[in-house]
Amino acid sequence: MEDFNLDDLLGQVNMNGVSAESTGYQDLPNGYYLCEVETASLEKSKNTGLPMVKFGLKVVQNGIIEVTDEDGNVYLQRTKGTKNRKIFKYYILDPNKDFEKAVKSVISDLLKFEGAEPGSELLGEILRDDEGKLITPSTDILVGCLEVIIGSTIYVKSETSPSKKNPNEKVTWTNLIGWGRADKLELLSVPAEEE
Amino acid sequence: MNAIDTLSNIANTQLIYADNLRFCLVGSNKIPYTINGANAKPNNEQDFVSFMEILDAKDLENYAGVGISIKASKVCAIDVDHCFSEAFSFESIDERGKYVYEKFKDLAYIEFSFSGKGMRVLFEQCDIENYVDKYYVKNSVCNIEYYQPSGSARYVTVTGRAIADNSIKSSKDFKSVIIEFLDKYMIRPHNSNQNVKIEPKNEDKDITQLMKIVKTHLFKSIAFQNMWFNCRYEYNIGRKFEGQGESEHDLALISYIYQNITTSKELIRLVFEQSEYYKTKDSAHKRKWLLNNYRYYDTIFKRLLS
Repeated sequence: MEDFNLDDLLGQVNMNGVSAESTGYQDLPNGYYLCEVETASLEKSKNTGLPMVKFGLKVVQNGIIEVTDEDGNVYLQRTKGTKNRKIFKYYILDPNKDFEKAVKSVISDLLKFEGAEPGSELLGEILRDDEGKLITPSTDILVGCLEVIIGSTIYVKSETSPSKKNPNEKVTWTNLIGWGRADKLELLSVPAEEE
Repeated sequence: MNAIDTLSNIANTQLIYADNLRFCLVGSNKIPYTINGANAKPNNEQDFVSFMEILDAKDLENYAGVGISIKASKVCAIDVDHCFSEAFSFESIDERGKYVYEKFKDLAYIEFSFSGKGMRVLFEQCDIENYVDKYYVKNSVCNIEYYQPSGSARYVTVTGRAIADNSIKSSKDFKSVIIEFLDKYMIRPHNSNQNVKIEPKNEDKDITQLMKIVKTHLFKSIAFQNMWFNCRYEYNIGRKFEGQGESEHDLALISYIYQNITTSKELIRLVFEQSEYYKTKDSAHKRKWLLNNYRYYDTIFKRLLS
């Protein structure tokens, strides 16, 4: 084992921002992250027992943030140290509160996954009828769709801000971004960086 | 079915006693015609005639049906699109149709639409004041339309296929019933930013400079992205205009530009026209936007400031 002086190492730790509520992880900088779907499942919330859809996403490229230089010019650049971070997204399907809106939100996000052809929907054949109209999915169809998207990549916008209810707490918003929109936002033209 | 069949149907309903109704002929392409075969203009009351006069029109068999002018007839109309899953089958009525039917079945004349899959309600009642400030004329989400004489240079087709064959002239004042229906299906969302004073902003910038600001807002705001890009997919989960029609989408985007990008009326219009949403409007909506030197935009801008 390598010799080291623990006191020296401890003396270099910056304790700013540490509290009883610290998780040890920095919030992701507000920006866009290319993610791979590691897990996607329909399960019961441990807290409430309500059904929920859960996405487990892994950041596969350093994120993209907006920076402003001294002259006021705004441009996009990569963050550092965000690759391999995990992002989780939950859709609570509460029968007593906004159930239809939550289901529509899930379906809307599932439609953002692109198929082999650019601009095509990965789940179009499952979620649409012969006339191209969206169907109302059953549990089996929903679970099937979630299995299909595992391994797919998608852009995610992550934004952390103070909670309106309690400014001392933070809330993180996670939105899936379709490839077409990512292109329009010029995310695809930001060069990839090696860490 | 042609205009002769329709007029025959009408003659067997209470509509025949409504001598204020003013008719036109309707082609298979839904274009309205005068009894002389010329195009009828919905905003020209002279192009619409009484029931007896329309019976004298030539070549009735060549027309698909007849229509009435809302303004010239001084009637109100409710159209509920596609509320019957089977044509002319009352039993196949959906929840919207059922609600409207139950509300008006004893008060107004109700009939099947031309296709048999929609429902039309006709009645005479006082106009609702300041209607457009509070309600939609057409709610594109639930596919219901409401017309009243003061607001509407429109015509509606009539079929005489009565579901509730009541006189359109009711002795009762049922404004409260109409308001209940409008509050359920036609009310516009409340704009919570209306009372916020907006300071003049970026009125000296050119369009190129403003588009850089737009780019920053697009990067930051999902809601603005939804408004700006062509978000007409089935589930529009954006705030403010979730599931709303084109005019609400126009108002939401213009309102955002006004509050965040520039307060200059002309520049707002130019920025709006750079949006993918605007560029993908269909020809009818583009025409509406450009008509009479942007009169529609003037109306929206006035609503913004009021």
